[in-house]
Amino acid sequence: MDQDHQLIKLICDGDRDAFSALYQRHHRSIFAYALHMSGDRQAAEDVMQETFTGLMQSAKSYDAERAPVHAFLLGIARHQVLRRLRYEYRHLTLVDAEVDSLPASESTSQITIRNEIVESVRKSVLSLPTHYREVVVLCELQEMSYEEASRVLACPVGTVRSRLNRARKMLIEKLRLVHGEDAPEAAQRSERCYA
Amino acid sequence: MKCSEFENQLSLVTELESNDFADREDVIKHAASCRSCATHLQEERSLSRSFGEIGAHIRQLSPSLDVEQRIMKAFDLEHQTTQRYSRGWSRYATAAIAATLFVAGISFALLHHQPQPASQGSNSRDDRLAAAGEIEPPRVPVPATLSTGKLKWRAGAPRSMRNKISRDAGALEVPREIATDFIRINYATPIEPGSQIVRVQLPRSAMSQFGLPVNMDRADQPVKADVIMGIDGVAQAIRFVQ
Repeated sequence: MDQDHQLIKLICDGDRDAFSALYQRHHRSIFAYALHMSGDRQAAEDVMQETFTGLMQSAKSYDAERAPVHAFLLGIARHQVLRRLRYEYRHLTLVDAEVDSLPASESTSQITIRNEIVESVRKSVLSLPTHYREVVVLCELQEMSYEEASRVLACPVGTVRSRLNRARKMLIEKLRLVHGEDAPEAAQRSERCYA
Repeated sequence: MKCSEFENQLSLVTELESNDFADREDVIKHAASCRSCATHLQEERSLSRSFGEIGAHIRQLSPSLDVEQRIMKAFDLEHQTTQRYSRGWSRYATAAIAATLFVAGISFALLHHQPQPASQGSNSRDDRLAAAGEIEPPRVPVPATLSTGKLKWRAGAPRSMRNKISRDAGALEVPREIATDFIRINYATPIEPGSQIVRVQLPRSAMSQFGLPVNMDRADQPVKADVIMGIDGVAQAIRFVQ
């Protein structure tokens, strides 16, 4: 039995320290997932709170053979995010934070260009349909394996792979349009590549 | 490699999990010879790099501290509620079992009850009063605790039980209902013939108002009492029954 599973058992018995320990182990990942999906810090904090509150009520139903605790928590968070997106449509609000961790060797103009590209990618990810966005968030932004993502999304690995492939193509198309590539040329490339 | 094959194999370059290095080499080699595919490969790599930067940046962010406090507070509240809920149920279950046993005991007593002539009843003072249809003014008692430091209980079992006891004199002792002496509540008017005894339940803390000791562990449990009600409806005296 792994440590997370032991913590879940203790939580079922009302152990406050175990709950706090589990929170410390997973809250950043849950927060990052919610932030990537919603693009809004306040919404992400709300989702995180709802996720851990949901854990209190559903800890007893956790089945270690079905998924690890991390996937179980992400599953709860995903449910909360989708519920919010369905009813609130806040996903176009963007994260306020700036990307400032570029390599020092790049020149100022290169940094500016990179910032623009990163910002465009972030906007494009937020504009993807939900089922494409979540595979990008899990597999690309949170660097989960296809198997882990398939457990969270409750779908086959092949579905994760095909959705991710399609999502990348959609993102590249969006970025071409954003950066002013000649539309007919982009359309031609798109037709050739994705047919 | 053809451009169409390049498109199919492009994921080998971008997928982090790919270990097929030979195919990767083919893809990169084709991109070096085809300008269009080279651009496409560059776009894919740029996208992957952007993902890495966004992911790394977001991983550095933390939720505000009050979120954790809210969550822990919710946990405390949830746990308290659950404890109270389960404790409440166990209390109800205990009460239900006690009530069932009580009803079973009463039923048993009634089934074995054989009426006896009144003259053969007990010689209890209350029974004599009840038989005469009147009640004499009780003696004004001094609470036993004040005089002896120990409660003085007096027999006051139901008639049926007392009859059975008198029939089976010398038999096994049957638990009886015991009571304190009557304690006057209202000294303004004497207790008149025609007054009635009424059985009531009071909070156990009421005993302390009459100078009787109260077990604080059972302070929330009610206690039975007999109250002498005057013909004007005013309570005249009280005794506590166990």
